[in-house]
Amino acid sequence: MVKGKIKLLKEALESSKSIQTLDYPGGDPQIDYSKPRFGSGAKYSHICEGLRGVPQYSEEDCCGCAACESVCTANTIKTEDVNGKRIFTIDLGRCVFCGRCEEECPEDAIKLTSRFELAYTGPDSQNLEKVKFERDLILCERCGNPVAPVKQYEIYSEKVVKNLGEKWREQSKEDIEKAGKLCRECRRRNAYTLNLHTRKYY
Amino acid sequence: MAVYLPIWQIIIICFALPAVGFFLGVLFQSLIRKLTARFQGRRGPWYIVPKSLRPVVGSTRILQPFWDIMKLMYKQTLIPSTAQRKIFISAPFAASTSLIIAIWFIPIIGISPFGPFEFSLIITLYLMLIVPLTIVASGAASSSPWGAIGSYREVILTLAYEIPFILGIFSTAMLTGILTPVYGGVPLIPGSLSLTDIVNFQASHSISFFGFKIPAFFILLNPFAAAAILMSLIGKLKIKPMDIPDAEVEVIAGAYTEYTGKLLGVYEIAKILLLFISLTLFIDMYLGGALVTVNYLGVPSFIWSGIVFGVEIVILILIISVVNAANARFRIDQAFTWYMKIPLILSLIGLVWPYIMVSLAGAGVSIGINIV
Amino acid sequence: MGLKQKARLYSPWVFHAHCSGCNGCGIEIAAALNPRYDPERIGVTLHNNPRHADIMLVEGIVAKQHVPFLKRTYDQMPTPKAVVAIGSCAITGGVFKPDDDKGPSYTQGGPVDRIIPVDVYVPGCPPKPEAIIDGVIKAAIILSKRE
Repeated sequence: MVKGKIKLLKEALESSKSIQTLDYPGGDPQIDYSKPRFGSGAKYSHICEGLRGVPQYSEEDCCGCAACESVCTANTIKTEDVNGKRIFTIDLGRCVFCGRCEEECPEDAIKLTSRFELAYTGPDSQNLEKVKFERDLILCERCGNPVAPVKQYEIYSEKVVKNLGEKWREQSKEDIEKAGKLCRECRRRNAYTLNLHTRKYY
Repeated sequence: MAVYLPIWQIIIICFALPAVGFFLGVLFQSLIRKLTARFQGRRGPWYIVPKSLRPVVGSTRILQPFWDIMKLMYKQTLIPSTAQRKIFISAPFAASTSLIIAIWFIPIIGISPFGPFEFSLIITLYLMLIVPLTIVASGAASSSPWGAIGSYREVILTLAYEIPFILGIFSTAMLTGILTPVYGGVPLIPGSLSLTDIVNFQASHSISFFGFKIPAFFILLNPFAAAAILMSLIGKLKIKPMDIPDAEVEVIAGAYTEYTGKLLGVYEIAKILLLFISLTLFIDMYLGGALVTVNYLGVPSFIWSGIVFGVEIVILILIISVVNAANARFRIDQAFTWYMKIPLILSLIGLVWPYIMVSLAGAGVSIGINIV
Repeated sequence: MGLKQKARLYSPWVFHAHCSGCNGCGIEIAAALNPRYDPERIGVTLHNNPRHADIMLVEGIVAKQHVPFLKRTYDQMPTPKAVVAIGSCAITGGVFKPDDDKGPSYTQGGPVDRIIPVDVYVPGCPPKPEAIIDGVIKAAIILSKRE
């Protein structure tokens, strides 16, 4: 018993030399932790590499495709198509910081930052991490149902034309002009009259 | 022998001493928390808060126990409807009042209004014993099962540590009477139960310890009793291996479970006063009361006394913190048997030790200690 | 800042209420209170007694059977008190309430703010220990402003 107690005492005295506490409240994430500093026990930064903090949305880059909504595990990102506008609602109270939206976003409009101090005070406070923004939609020329956001349409019509070979470029341009602004239902119904039967592009 | 101060000084000191004791106790408590944290590899209450946090959480936390108490004082006080109201309310006040009175009898660097009183040691022991009694009463009166278990544990622990404590204290008090006529022929002081006499004895005598001349600290003359008392103080102060009555994870907070707000705050004050009194009593009994009577280097003697007091307190707190950090909690039966084994035997040796020293001196055997 | 506000800000005592969570947030709370993050630097200590606590940390979805006990524990705390809801389960129902249209899980007693008033919400599944400490500091600031 005495041997064990002496071992414990030794351990207590040793651990007083090397303090394990991080610098968190009051610490500076820019500090270089590779060099030991006098008076500070912290050896490691509280912001490590690959930390998944709050997702940041760039409204400029977002094309409004809602790929993030389909992939979101916790239903944090929700969309609604009202009056020719797609409304994005992002409720961080539900977010699990999995990072799937960052992976899937085609335009890199969502990025997980290293910010983690997210505590907010009550639903009425200004700190509430609830983001809301809108994207204009293209409405179907025939029935008036939403087709796709304007920006997504522009980007992808360009991309489709660019990525196809020389052989099909003219044909695809024609198709997009003819049927690009139709909703899926109308496109399907009028496939024959518009000469939109399936082509083997490749 | 007893030299009393003038009456007006006594009145001023009576009001000032508890305040000073509380303030110093807060500092000791915060130092214990800091050192314990250090020995556990943490930082403990921040003594200097980093600049970026100062607008949010203040600039220093040296007085952390004081802020805890102030916060409790501004909180709502709930009293359970099933509790024994009178005992429940009066118990914390009884504890802190008895300790405030006990401060008057304990010399702090030799200053004490009632220290020269003939039986101040016995009065102090009684007043310190009131605290566990009030804890037992409050736990039983709170009508909470955790309080009942806490009271039961407190009774057993008090029984265990009080025996070596009192035996050690009295064996040391006897030293003043027995040793003087044999060693060196200084004027005979009857074995005194007055704390001021004990402090003055250590300050006015010195011993040659294997040729070195040092003040007559009783810790050198009777180390066994000193060790026994230090071990009992760990139980008295509920330091880690002995914090069984208010073990957090076993019995919610023991006897304090149902206490809230101001009543809990009064108990916290009592805890801090008890810490101050126990450490000061140990210094008075064994470390010469930190009393320096000579003006070294032209600096007044009371400043030297203060410095010595601080150094001795820091050493004691260091020991307490290491014990607090390095030990796991005992079970109550383990604690009882441990107290019956080691501290009791040490205190019994301490009780016989003065007589052994006297008979050895009578037989002409040198043990390296001589009172001059 | 008066003595009252200062005292309340300087010593927030914390109580951990585990209300039928998956224990992920519980582990993170335990991590936030350990030597690695050491909130005792700013005066936060864990008391497993609601009578002594100022701030209650609630985690989990609060199952229907747990609702009366959470209410009772809240009532046992003396005023002023603050509640911190930790994790997305405690804030919104999280994965146990997948969609507003489909409705919650049949065992769910509701997010915490439907049962007791919540002051600070700490999102995350689970939140980082640093985020919990940040939430506790914010709760202490709210607490210090209470009457």
